[in-house]
Amino acid sequence: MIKAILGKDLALLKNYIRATVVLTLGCYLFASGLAIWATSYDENAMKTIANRAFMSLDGGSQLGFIATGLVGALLAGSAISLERSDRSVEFLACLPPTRRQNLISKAMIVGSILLLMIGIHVVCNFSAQLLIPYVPSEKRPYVPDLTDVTTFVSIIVSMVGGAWGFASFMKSNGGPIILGLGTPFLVLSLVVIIGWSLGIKSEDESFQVRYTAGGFVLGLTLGLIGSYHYLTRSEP
Amino acid sequence: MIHDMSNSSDSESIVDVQDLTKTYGSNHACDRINMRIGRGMTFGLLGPNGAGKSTFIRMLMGLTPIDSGTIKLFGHETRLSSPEMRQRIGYVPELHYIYRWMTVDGVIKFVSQLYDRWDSELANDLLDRFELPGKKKVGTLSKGMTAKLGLVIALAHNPELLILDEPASGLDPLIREDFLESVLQNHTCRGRTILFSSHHVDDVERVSDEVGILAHGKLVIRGTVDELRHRIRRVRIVLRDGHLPSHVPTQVFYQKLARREWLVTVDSFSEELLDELRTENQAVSCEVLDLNLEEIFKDVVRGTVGQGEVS
Repeated sequence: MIKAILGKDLALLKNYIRATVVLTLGCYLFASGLAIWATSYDENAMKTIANRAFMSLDGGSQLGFIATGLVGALLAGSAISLERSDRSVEFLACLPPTRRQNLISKAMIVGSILLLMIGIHVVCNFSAQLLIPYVPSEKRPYVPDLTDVTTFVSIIVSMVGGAWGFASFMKSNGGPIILGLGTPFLVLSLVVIIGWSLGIKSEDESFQVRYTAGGFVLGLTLGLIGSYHYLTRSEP
Repeated sequence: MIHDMSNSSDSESIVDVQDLTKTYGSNHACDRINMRIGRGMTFGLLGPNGAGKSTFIRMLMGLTPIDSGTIKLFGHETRLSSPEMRQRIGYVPELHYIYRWMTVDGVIKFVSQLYDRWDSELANDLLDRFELPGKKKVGTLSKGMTAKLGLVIALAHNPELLILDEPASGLDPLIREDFLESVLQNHTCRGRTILFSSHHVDDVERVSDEVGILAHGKLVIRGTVDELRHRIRRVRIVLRDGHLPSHVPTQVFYQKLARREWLVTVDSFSEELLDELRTENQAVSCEVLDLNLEEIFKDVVRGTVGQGEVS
């Protein structure tokens, strides 16, 4: 039965999944194009394949992380609310699958796409770091470290969790996607306000850690609240 | 006013509802409904718009939470129908929300994987009979075609209980006829149980073994059509000049007074009741009129609104 629901959910999100593929490829193509353009007039060793590959992979993965957040909010918001917007969720409610099975199917699709995207970007980012010795040090751009990647992932989690959570309360996908995209700003505000109330300065070294942790906590909390509401709400 | 709501049946109860209540604010959508439907029976639920039919059915389907009371389906108490229950129930709602982006074939393929007892042969027969185009998207189908697709989905898994909630609402008479014909052919002949809700009296009369009338959230009457025709009569009483009705028996549930002519609709009609009406009121003449199901329905509904009319 879960296979049938997965098939239906994949078809439901077909256009969004296509957009995801295009956007992911677009990130690396854009970064590659930019790398070639930026190095083409350079007199020294910047024209090497290693340097261009480094710039493409590093830039592509950084753009890719941002794209993953956007796509995650888009997919999570749509997976939950699209069926409510056209009321097909009422048709689904009369069929044998349980709410839990429906939710698992959606979570599996959104989760696997996001994991795949994050995996691709982490691998590309790691590959870029392997190329660092071949990049002239004076031209070497800022390279994100593990903490930065974790922060990227936390932003993605907050976006996806926000979109997922809000979507189960809403009847169209526009609102949840916007709210999902806005969740990292909510995290930022909360971290600043809580830090201020506890007397911790925003420029403190631990700020990034607190922001990363806040993103994970709020994203997961909103996701869990949304899931619970999805399982218990009455339709319409 | 009108009695015998539970009408116990000797056969095994497929639907057994006790004191089912649902309120929205101060509005009683369903008010202590008791109903039992035996296996193999076709039960017609009649009621005007807003009577609570859809709420009642949605509660049976587990789509709307109940406030109080109990629902037993196939002998098992249930608050929210389980997947196992849904395997045994076919449901045709008034409004169809089948995935509009799916093709007819896509919908059939999808639902066929969800039911253990899906009968592909029956599904194909019905699709052919209804001339449903497999390659067309559901969103492009007419209302009648969508309703037929809904019926195919509800019938093709051979449900033990078929619940039809105003299934032919908004369909033109030809499609409605075709639709009902299919229900009759494909289900009643297989000896399965049907709960059919409608405000089209003739449709209900045509398909139902037993009829219940729901008004203002209450199941006010139930019985076979013949039973109801026998039990419920209208009495036309011509009163003496200058007299008004002085005695209204408890069996009267609807009355209308126009000058000297007093029309009363009574439940549990008997000769004794007729004598009582004649002697206790200054009657010049009394005439007993038979009612058809539509007239019974109208009087029952009017009777629950106001108790009568005076002109």
